[in-house]
Amino acid sequence: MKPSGKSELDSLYFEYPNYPFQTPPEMRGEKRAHPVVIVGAGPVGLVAALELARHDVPVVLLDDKASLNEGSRAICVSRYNYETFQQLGVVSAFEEKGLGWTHGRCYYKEEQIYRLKMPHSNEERFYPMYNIQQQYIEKYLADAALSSPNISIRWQSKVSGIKAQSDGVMLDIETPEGPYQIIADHVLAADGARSVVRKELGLRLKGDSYEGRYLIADIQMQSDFPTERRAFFSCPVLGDSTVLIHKQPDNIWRIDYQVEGNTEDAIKEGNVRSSIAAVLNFIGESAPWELEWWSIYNASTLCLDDYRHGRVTFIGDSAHLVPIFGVRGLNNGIADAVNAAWKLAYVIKGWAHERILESYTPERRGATLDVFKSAGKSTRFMTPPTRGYRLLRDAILSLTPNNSFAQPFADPRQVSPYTYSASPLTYESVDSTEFSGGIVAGAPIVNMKVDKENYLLDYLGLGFSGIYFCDQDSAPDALTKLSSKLAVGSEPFKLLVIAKNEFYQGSLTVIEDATGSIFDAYGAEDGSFYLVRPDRHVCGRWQNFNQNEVSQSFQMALGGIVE
Amino acid sequence: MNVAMKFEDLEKVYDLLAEAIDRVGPDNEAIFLSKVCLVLSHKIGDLDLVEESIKAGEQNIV
Repeated sequence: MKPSGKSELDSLYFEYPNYPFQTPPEMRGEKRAHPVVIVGAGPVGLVAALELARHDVPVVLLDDKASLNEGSRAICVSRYNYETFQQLGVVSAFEEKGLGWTHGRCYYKEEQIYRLKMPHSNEERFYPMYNIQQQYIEKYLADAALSSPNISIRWQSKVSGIKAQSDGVMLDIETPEGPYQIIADHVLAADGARSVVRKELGLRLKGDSYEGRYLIADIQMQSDFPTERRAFFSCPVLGDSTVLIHKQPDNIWRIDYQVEGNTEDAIKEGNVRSSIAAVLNFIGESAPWELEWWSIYNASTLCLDDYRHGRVTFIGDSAHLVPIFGVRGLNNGIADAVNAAWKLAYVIKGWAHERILESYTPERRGATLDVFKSAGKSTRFMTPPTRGYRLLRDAILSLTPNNSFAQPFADPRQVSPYTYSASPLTYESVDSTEFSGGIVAGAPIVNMKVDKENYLLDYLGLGFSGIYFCDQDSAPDALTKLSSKLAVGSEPFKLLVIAKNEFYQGSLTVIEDATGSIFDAYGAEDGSFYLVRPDRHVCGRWQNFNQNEVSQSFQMALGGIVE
Repeated sequence: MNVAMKFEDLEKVYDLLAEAIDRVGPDNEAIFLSKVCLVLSHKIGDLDLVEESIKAGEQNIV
């Protein structure tokens, strides 16, 4: 919602682009074959398009709007997804704009009771979390998509019907110039919480909705307070409700507060303004401020039973809705998009067996169910549903300053990347139990610092990569032969050698690790090996490189041998 | 397993709790008692024992 007198796309700081409708070839009577059509050019659809394009698959992206989504909506992007943005070649814009953060503060009534510190070290390139408005996220992704020769975005094109058949999917599309149909081999439904594709296919999200509602609002205000997450429990100025405050770029501040009673009253502009004024007064901000945008939110844990329906795959909010606490909506949506897109690209290219697509639901629905496990707990803490829950929550908060055992309750349980341990693509090597630390199979790699300017991710390939740890002056023959065996189509296998000593091997990419910090982060010894998927997740790892097992793991990660 | 408290000590707990409840006042007695339960639970470190105690506390109320 916008202040009275302002239209949807009026903003204090952001200029919404206007994307014209262009007559598609189908409306000129031309027949076109489309390997993939993505419905919805929000952040999730755009990431999927960029990932497909990265693997050289042409994509058509349909969106009913003539611009980006209105309002700042999701504002937190995790380190994991900054790494994804790096792989998609768009991270520099995000780094320039986003506000990285590592700390938070938790208050109970008037007092600060807990200082949150997220795990972070100087060995990592990106901060654990960044605040950036969704408009910018969409803008940077759309700019990249619009300049990609593999991506064609069709704005002002609304999907109104879908017919999913065994050999393809037909979509009915409405445009300013009339309707047309498009046929695709595969469809990615990134059309959000109110997905038309989901509805047209007669599919339903299942799960629970919670009572507690939050008003989320953005204001523009000059303030020197650093970028930290502030959570106020029992905030005395808003009838003891919970308040969350985040800083965003362009002097925009996000204020979320719990709403009791009538929603219709709560969303009235006058009430929003007076609540915000009370909060600002409470935290000691006296600068003038302007209201930009607000919306109402209610926590739910809902998802589809299966994220795939024949040739249609659901990514992001069309597949699942999760509570905002922990910033998992957009972050998990982006992870869905990459996961579905690289697998689909490999199938379309004929590089992977179609079975690889069957790993999408267990991996990404697994991530959603993992969120659900903790979501109930964090929602009950943020918004106690009964007097009993409220009493215990307050008891914990009141204990927190002097009893460290109570602190984890106040921890916001932020998003962390999901480990695909139970995935059909993940390989449990015979000697994996010998690792005393490092990164387990199914988890994403850690982007360790290599030298002053470079990090591990800068060396990874477009497709699969291998990381070999070496304390000798050369690598075994079997390893050097691996690269040619594990190339996939036009995507070479990228083999990295992390060497503790000076190392001579002309054709290999060698990273010097004199301090052993990369060895330590990976729990590696001389001869350890990690096989890494295009999405940075570890297929399998070996304390002692084993050529046969690595080949098996590689085939498994491609869904089996392509006949 | 923990050994049950001596009766003389339990008598002291009786007095200590009564006096603390009076000190925090009627508005805070519920949160005070919840805090004490949480601290004791943390120190006891035995979920079954705590569950048993909660059930025992719930008996004969009303």
